[in-house]
Amino acid sequence: MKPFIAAYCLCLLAATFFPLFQFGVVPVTWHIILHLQLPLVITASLVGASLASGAAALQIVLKNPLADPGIIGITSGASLSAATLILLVPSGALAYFHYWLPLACFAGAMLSTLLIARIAHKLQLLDAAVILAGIGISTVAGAIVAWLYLFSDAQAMRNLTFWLMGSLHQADWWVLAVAAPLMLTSVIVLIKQGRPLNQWYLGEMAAKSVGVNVQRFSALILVCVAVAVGAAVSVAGSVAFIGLMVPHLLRLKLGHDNRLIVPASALTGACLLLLVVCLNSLLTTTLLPVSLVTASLGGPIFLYLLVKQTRPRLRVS
Amino acid sequence: MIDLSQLSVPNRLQVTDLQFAARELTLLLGENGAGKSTLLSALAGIHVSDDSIIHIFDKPIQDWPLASLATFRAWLGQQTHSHFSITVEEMLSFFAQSHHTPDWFDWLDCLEITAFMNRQLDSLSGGEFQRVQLARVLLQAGSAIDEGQAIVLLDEPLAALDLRFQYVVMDLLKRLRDKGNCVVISSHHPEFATGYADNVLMLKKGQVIAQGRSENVVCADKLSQCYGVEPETLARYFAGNN
Repeated sequence: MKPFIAAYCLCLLAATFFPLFQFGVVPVTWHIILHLQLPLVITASLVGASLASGAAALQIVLKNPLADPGIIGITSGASLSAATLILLVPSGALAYFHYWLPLACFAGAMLSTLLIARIAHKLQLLDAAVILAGIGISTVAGAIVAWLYLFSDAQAMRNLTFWLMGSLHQADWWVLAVAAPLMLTSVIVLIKQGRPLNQWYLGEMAAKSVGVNVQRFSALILVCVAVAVGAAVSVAGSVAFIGLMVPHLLRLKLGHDNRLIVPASALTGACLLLLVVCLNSLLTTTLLPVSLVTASLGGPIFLYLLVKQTRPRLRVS
Repeated sequence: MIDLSQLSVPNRLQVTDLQFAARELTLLLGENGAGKSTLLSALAGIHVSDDSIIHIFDKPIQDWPLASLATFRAWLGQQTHSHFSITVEEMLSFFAQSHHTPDWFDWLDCLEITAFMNRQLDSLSGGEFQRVQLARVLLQAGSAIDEGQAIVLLDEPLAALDLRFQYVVMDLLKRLRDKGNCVVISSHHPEFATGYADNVLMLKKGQVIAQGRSENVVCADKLSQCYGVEPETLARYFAGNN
C-alpha cells in the first residue's frame, strides 16, 4: 500500500503547488492555490477515488470484471438531468445555475439507481437484473438526451458536450462542502468491505455460507457506489474509463485481494485525475475535458497491458 | 447436533423428525431432484423458511447469526464458479479462518492441491476444482473441525472426482467423522454406504422413503425403489463392483 500512498502524496503536492512554478512565489500565487487549485485537487482526488473504488466493488458484486458505474445507469441518470437543465433552461433564467447543476445531477443519479434497484428487486436476480436494467435505463436516457439535442441552440449543445466529457473546474468550496463528505464517506465504507468482497468472488451462496448477509451487503455496496459516483458525476461530469481501467489493471498486477485492490484503486484513480490537473495547468491556452485525457492515455496503456499480461491458457476439460 | 422436526419447501421437500448426530457420517441418496441439495442447504441455514423447525445444538437455526454458524458449519453447494481469474491460493486465503493448525495442511496434502496453488481457478479441471472447493469449506470451519465440534454438509463432494480421489475424499470424511464431527453428504454412489456411512437417508420426490443404518437400508429393493432402476440391473452393478 505504501507505494500507492507515496505516489498519491507526490501527485497531490505537484498538482496543488503547480502555480508556484508558473507564477513564482508571489502573494497572488497563494491566493490562486487557496481559492482555485485546492478545490480542484480535492475534486480530482475524490472524484478519481470514488469512480475507481466504486467500480472495483461493483465489479465483484455484479460478478462482471467489465462493470463500471456507467453500466448500472448511474452516469446516464446524471447525464439526463444535466442535459435537461443545460439544454432546456437558459442559464440566465435560473439563479445559482452553477449550484443547481450538480444538485440535479445527483438527484438524477440517485433516481436512476432507485429505479434500477426496484426493477432488479422485482426480478429477484441481483447481478444480471441490475446490469440489464442499467442498460435499459441508459438507453432510454441516451435517447431522451438525443431528442433534447435536436431542439437546442448551439451554445447549450456545446456546454452539454463539455459537461458530458467531464470537467474538474466546475467545483468550488460550496459545492465541495456538500459533495466531498458524501464521496469521502462512501469511499471509506467501500474500502472497509475488502473481506466480504473477497468472499463474493464465488458468488452469493459461497459468501452467505461464510456469514455474509447477502441482501444487506449488496444493498450497502450499491448505495455506496450510487452515492459516491452520483456525487462524483455531479461535480465533474461524466468521466470515462477510470472505473473500468483502474481496478482491472490493478488486478492484473497485484492479484485479487480486495483489501488491497479497493484502496489501491481509490488512490490510483485519484492520482490519474491529479495528473489531468497538472496537464491542464501546463496547457495554459486550453482546458482539456477529463475524459479526453483519461481515454487517450488510459486506452492504449490498458490495451498494451492486457495483451502483455494475457498468456495462452490451457483449458482442461 | 442437528435436530430437524419439520422442513417444508413447497413442491420440493417435505421431511419431519430427522436427527444428525456427532461422530456420524450420513449419506443422502436419491434421484436427481429428490431434494438432497434442498435438505442440505436448509440444514446449513442457507435456504431455510421461517416455519421450518430445525435445531442446531438445541438452538433454532433461525436464531443463529450466519457469521456464528459459519465458524462451525462447513457447507459445500453445487455450481460454484468465479468470473474472475483468481488463483487457488487466493481463493483459499479469502475463505480460511486466520488461525491455522497442522491438520489443515494435511487436508491440502491429502487432496493433493498444494501442487497447483498458483494456478487460476478457471484453468483447473472439474476434479481439481472440486478438490479445491472441498478444501475451501474445510478451511472455513477448520478450528471447529479440528476440535470435532463441526457440522460438515457436502452436496455431492464426489462429483467430477476420479475413482482414486473418490476414495481419498471418503477416507478424509471418515477421519473427520472419527474426530467427533457430524458429517452429512449427498452422493450418487451408493457403494460408499458400506464401510463409510453410518446412516443412509433415501429421498424420492421430496419425501423420505428409507432411513437407518446403512447395512439395513442399502439393498437392491430400496435402491430400485429410490432410483427407479430394475433390481436385475442393480444386481449386475453390484456384482461388477465386487
